Amino acid sequence: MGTATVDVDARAISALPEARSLHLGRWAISIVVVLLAALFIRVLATNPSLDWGVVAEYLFNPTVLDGVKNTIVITVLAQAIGIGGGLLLALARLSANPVLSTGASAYIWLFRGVPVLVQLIFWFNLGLVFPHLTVQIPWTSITLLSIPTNSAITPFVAVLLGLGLNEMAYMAEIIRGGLLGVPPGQREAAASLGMTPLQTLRKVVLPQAARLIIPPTSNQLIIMLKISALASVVTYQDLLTSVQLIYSVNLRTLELLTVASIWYVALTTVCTLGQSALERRMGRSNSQSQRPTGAVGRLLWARAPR
Amino acid sequence: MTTTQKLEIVSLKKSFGSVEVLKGIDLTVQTGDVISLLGPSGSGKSTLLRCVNQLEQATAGQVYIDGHLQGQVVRHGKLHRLKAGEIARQRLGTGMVFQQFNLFPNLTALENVVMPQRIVLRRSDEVARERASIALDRVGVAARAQAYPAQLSGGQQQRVAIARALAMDPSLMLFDEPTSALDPELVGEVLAVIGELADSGMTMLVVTHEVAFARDISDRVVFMDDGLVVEHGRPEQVIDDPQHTRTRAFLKRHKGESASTRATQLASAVQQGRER
Repeated sequence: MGTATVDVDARAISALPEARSLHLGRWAISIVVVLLAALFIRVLATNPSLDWGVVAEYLFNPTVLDGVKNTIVITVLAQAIGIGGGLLLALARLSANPVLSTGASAYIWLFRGVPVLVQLIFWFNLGLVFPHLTVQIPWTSITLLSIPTNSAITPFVAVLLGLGLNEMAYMAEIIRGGLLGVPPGQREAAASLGMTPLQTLRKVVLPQAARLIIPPTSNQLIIMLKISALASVVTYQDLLTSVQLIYSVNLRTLELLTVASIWYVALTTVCTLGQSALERRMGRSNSQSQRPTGAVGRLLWARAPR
Repeated sequence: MTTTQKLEIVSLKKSFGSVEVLKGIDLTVQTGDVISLLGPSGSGKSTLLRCVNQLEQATAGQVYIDGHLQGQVVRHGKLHRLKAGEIARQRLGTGMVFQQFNLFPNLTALENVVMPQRIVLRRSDEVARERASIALDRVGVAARAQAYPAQLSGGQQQRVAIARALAMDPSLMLFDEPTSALDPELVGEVLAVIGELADSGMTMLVVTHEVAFARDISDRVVFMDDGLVVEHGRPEQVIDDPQHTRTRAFLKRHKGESASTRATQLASAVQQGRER
């Protein structure tokens, strides 16, 4: 007979304890990473040209806090314009009306094509092109409202328009992807139940698309938080402008940029936590299969009662 | 006995691009009739069903439900396509069950049945929930009312989908291959529910590949091939004594299947469903 010889009895094998893996490679890489991190922290902590006392002193300075507040306001409002306008643009792009869909495509093409910094400066200088903003009944000379552009386009309005209109183009593509990600059978089921297209959109398509739209939108919000720093070029007093105002006087540039960075990181962390919470809430209906991604998300997931 | 005409399909044609899927279908369904549509894949059965409730817009021909022209209106001597909102209103009396169930995955079984009643029929939450409970109980999934579709078996999902359609009080039910996406052992429970519904007097159009089932529940069987009705009559005639070679060829393939133990199990499941 050609059976192979068995050197240990099968029952004896199954009784053996399992050896623990040593994960030598994992240990080696971890040690290198920890060393590099320690080195980085040491450089920051002990560098004589970075005075941590000054950082602490200015962290809750009223001017800095004002900047933080303005950065939050501009980020939230510009992102809101982006989401609202982006939804309309996405619907226009998916519309059967060729004028609407071409118009939406053209908008997205243009606003994604021009750097957002250029857009900001453009809006800020709108008065050079159109000295007066006028509301007039078409083909008549009856003017309802006419104001000088420079008094209407304050730095705040310029930043809001620049960031918001630019964001609309990106959000439109994200939302369009979300809408297309909902299987066509869902619309058919809704239609067969007698729902109108608008009811179908609101009650069936958008809630399902939201699950696809929220993760990239949170990412956009975080990006928005950071590019809101561009507001400093049009003299809007955001977080970066605030610290610039201070260090232009006391010349502690590095310390004040560190203050700004700490606030930006803190705000980003809040956004990330919010994103994780939102995704967990949306993931209820298929909680067995979906696990949150990202370090913070996984941390929360591990702690969340299931 | 007087019968009333529930559905009338007149010279219906449908093309997708250059492919003509329906080549002129005429069909009349009386109130209370259960009609099975049999035929090979691609013969146009599903398209016909989808034209009835305007999920597809026919290329030519008309559909009348309760004597009302569907999806179109005659105005100044011309046929005009109705607006989406008006078509939505016309679909109210017709329920449809899909091959892929199409439950809303973000809602529980109960919410799936409640939401359309609230939105379309403007029923109060209380009334909608009560009607949903009755419908879910009728299809035997009341115990899983709080489960999400992903937590239900295919058979349970399809039964919830049937409950969702029934809660809208339709007078005509369309079934588009309701068991084709199910594991064989789950087919019986869904067929049992559909069989019960047929017995209750609901007017139904059923596209199916289950020949034994079609024979059991139908008042009439329509055999379609290549976009045309090939044979049409009582189930004993069409299934047991087919006149056309194409019907014979199709049934020969599917009867081999129906002789198998699986179909026997299926028939007994249908029977059990009725006794229950």
